[in-house]
Amino acid sequence: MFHYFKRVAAFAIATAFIFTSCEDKTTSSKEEIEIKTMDSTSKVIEENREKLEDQTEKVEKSLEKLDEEFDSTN
Amino acid sequence: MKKYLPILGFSLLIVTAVAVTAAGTQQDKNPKKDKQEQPGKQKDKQDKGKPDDQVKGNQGKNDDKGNQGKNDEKGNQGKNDNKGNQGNKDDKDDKDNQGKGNNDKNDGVVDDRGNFMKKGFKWDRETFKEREKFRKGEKVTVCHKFNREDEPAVTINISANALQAHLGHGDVRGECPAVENDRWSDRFLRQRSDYYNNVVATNEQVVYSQSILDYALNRLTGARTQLVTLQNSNAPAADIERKRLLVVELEENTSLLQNLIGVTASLVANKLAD
Repeated sequence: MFHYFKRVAAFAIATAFIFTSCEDKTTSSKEEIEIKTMDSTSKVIEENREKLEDQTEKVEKSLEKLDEEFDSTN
Repeated sequence: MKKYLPILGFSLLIVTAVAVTAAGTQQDKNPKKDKQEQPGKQKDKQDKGKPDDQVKGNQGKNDDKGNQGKNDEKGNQGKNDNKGNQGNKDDKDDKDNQGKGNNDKNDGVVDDRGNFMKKGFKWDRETFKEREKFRKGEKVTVCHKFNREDEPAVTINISANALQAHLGHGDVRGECPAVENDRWSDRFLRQRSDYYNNVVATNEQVVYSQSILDYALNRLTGARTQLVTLQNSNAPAADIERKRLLVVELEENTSLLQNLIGVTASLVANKLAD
């Protein structure tokens, strides 16, 4: 009887170990995917922000020139 | 008895496998993951068909564990961040920070995307000259909370002008307390913090750019009128041409700015609202 228990227990432990390992890998790879997603999104956002900053400055400069050229009635 | 042992053993194996799988599935149900990949979608589903007020009313009920998300009014937050606060007449801090008269002149700019602040600066010639006060204004650190209770709060740096709006939505001034968890790696949490700080900075830039755009469009109208008047008078042709070129330049620049605001705003829309 003990012999059977030993065999079954060993098999059960091995199976549990395999399942757990697979699960950890899945979680870790999901996190990795998410990090990559955030990273790439961040880059796109940052690039657009820089463009926006530059363009805003251009508009500000145009406005300053306009202020110099046109009188203050508008 | 012996003949039942293989059956018993096999049953034990099945039970173990099911238990392990179930435990794994629980772990897998980390809602943050799905959410961060597509922020806003969950909320959109929840809020679909509800009036704004109702949505606001429903939010903020998710009290949180260990600092992770009192989660008030996230949709609201997306709308009011920065701009809403910048234009708030009741906000004394805003007045101190923003220089002359911006708040009093604010008549509200409703964003057509519906994601951002409801109000913004309304510059005039005088306040426009002092815009650097706003741009280089003080930054404050807040612990930003999300709608979902198992979404960890994140430390972000915001413009002091937007502080009241954030506090009003359940955020807390200062850094988020460290939360022990085995769900996310340090690397992930750092990346997440950088990501949201980037979103905040971009959001603030959108608000500022929108205010400049509004002012520019207003100035353009006045300049065009003045140009027509000049053309109808005996003003020197060279003067008229110089002014006309300035108007054209501003028109081009505002047009580009408008497009960029639209694109950038859509990128950060609702990112902080979940």
